Order: sequence, then C-alpha cells, then structure tokens
Amino acid sequence: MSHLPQTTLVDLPPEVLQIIFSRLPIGDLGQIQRVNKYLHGVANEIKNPAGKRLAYKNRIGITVHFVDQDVPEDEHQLEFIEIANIEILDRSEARDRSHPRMTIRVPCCDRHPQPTEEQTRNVRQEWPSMKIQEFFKPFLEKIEARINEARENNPNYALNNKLPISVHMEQAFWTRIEAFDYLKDLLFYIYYEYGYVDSLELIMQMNMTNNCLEIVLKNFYENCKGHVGKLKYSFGMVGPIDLEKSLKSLPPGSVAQIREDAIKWRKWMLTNRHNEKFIIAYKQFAGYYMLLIRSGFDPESTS
Amino acid sequence: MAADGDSMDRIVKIKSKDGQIFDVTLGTIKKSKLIMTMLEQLGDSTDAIPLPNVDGSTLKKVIEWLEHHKEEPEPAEEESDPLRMRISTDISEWDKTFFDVEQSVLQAYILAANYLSIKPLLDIGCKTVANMIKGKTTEQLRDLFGLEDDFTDEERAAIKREYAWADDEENQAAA
Repeated sequence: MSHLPQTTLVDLPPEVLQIIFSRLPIGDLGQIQRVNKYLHGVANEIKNPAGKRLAYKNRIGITVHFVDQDVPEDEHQLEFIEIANIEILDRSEARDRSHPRMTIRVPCCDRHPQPTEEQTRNVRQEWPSMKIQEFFKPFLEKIEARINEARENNPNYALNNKLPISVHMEQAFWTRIEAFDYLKDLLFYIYYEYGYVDSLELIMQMNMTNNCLEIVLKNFYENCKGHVGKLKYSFGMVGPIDLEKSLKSLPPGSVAQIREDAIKWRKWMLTNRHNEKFIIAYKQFAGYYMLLIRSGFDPESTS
Repeated sequence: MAADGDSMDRIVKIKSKDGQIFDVTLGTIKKSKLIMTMLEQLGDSTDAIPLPNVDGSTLKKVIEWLEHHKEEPEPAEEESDPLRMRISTDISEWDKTFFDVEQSVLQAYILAANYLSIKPLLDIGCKTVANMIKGKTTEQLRDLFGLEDDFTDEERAAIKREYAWADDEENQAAA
C-alpha cells in the first residue's frame, strides 16, 4: 500500500511561520525556536518581528506613569496636561539612563469639549499626528544598525555597550479615550518590535474621579499578559479615596480579603480571577492617602 | 472593479488543480486578492480561473469559509488597533470548529489562503497554529509536529545557554 508522506505545519513556508511566530508570547517563542534547526533559523531571522524579539531578549523594561490632575474650578484657558509618560528602560544601561520616552497629553478638563478649527490646527502644529511606528523608528533603526555592526564583527554578538541615543516625544489627544487607546497601541508596538519586555511597571498618581483603577487594570493588565515577564503596580493616590468603591471596580472574579495591622497600614489581600495574588496597602501620610499595590507576593509572609 | 450589489452577484468560475470547477459569486470570492487581480486582468472572459496550487477538496472548504464570512467588512488598511490584531489569538467558535482538522488539512487551508491572498483566512489559520504552540515545551512541540531534534550537542548546549531565560518559571507563567 502506498503511503504519502505526512506533512506537518512546520512544512509551511517561512513567511507564514513568521506570521505564526509573531503571535506567540515570548516564552512560547523561546520554546518553538529550540525544536529544530529549521524553526530556529526562521524564528531568529533578525529582520522579522520574532527574530527581533529573540535578539533583544531580557533587555527592555517599560514604565508607564499615569497622572490624574485635579480639574481647575475657575475660568481658564485650554491647556494640554500630561496624563501619561512612558519610558523604555534598556536593561543593559545604568539605572539612570532610559530611552526613548513619550508623553501623552489631553485637555485639562471637559469645559473645552469641541475644539475650534484654530485649536485643532494649533494642536496639530505642535504635536503633528504620527503613526505609532514612527515614534520609535529612529531608536529602532539605530538599534538595528548596532546589531548589524556587532554581527559583522562577531556572529555570537552580545549587546553590552550603551546605546548612544535618547529620544523624547510627545503627542496630544482631545479625549482620554483616544489617549488611552493610543497608549495601548503603543505598548503593543513595543511588545511586538522591541523584544522581550522583562517588566511593565504601572505607576499611578491620581484621584479616583476617572476610576483609573478599572481603566488601567482592564486595558493595560489584561492586554499585556503573555508579553511581559513581570507586572508591577504602584499607586499613589490623592484623597479622598473610597477604597471599598475602588476595589469594586476590579475585574469580576476577584476576591479581596481585608486585614488591618497594628501599624498604620490597612492591607487587602487580593486574588484576581487568574488566581494571581496582590497586596494592596494604604495609609494616611502627610495629608495624602498613600496606596500601594504590589503583585507577585506571598500573602502568608506579609505582616 | 465596481463593488455594487449587482456586480457582487456575478458568477465567477474557479478551477482547482485537479480540474474541479466551482461557481462562486463575486461577493463570496472578493476577499481573495489573487482572484480579484486575475479578474481585472481577464476582463469580461467567462473562462474558469485556474488555481493550480489548490486541490478541489481544499478549495471547496475555502469557499465554505468565504461564504460564511462574506458579509464581514474588509479590515481597513489603517486599523485603529493593528498591532493588537496581529498579536491576538482570539478565534470565533465557528472558525475554531472549521479549523479543528488534522494538521495536514490545516496546513492545506493555510497554504491556500496564502496563495489566494485571503488575509483574514490566513490570519485565523495562523492564530490556530499559534494556539496549538502556546504553553507547550520544546519536547511537547516535537511530539506534536513529529519533528526530530537535529541540533548537534554543541549547538544544543549553545542554545540552552543563550535562551536559558525561556526555561524561567516566570516566562513559562507568562506564556
């Protein structure tokens, strides 16, 4: 009886395998590229997203600093305020070096709902609309040039030297929704283009008027799973804070257990629907309510 | 090419590599950039369009997929969320069932989508494979795809050193 050779998915052409690999979280990409020589070669092709991610493994951290400023109550001119700063940390660099950075701005309050033509023109003049890919293109091109140079000198290259560039850009949006959507796209672009994101740190300094806990957890926590090694949160909130209300905004399936220790911290042991554990602690300090949220802890060891 | 309702009802003949001819409406087949390009080149010809890289059984299933998805709009070139779309591995229940086939058949669908330039079908096929890969170790992946470890001892040791992070618990958890 004749028996046709059974083909499998790895007989797919490299361009199709690249599409598949580009959809894999970095841990899975690390596994598939060790299966055999062919898959190793396809996955590590430096010109493609998977190859870039593997080449930059363990090299990038991201910090996003959210700022939620108080809304002025009196009459005032339209001002574009910062709501988020994003920094990419090169892990081969000294701690105080980071690049590139980007600031996202929105109007100061909703008393300026409809931009006039002149306002729109001015905004676009100051912050020309850019595609996300354009933001970090200069940085990426320089990194790629360095890799190529290093590879020419040494096939088993290692990127240990400092990258001699620093980029800071800004973009402004008329609404917070647009701004957060843009930030999400930006994070995905970084996951996709930069390589292994070893940590994402979300730092929030805000009041609760915009229910940012929910926005950040839903939009930035859920979407980055599988694309970063560690997630870190820290919240610094300006009172008055209704923590009970805030905790209700957490995703369904979360369980919060409240403990109060003898010192000044109140602590919530939180288990979310993914069975991941967090500690949330807060106390009043110098007129502010300080709220800290840490992930990846052992609840039994906290006191 | 005009895309009004009447033209979308136009019947197009396509011919698989084993000679099977299928009649499909333009509205059904329009997601194939290859066929749309060939139609523009052929003008008013009613000859069957030869598709020498796709066998009849695969082409029949591709048409079934196109028929099911024909009302869905083409994704715009500039999606509001293009990167997430590329990374996402979410698949509808209907598509999950459609792609719940042997590896060789799944491969045939993906190759046909690639050849016919049907991007949404190719995307879902690739998502399906990505989901098959997710969460598995290197050894499990070799078993799944029937592949041999063809690295030399030196290469294996070098890769293990270079990609030691892939074995980290945190990365496994992240995956």
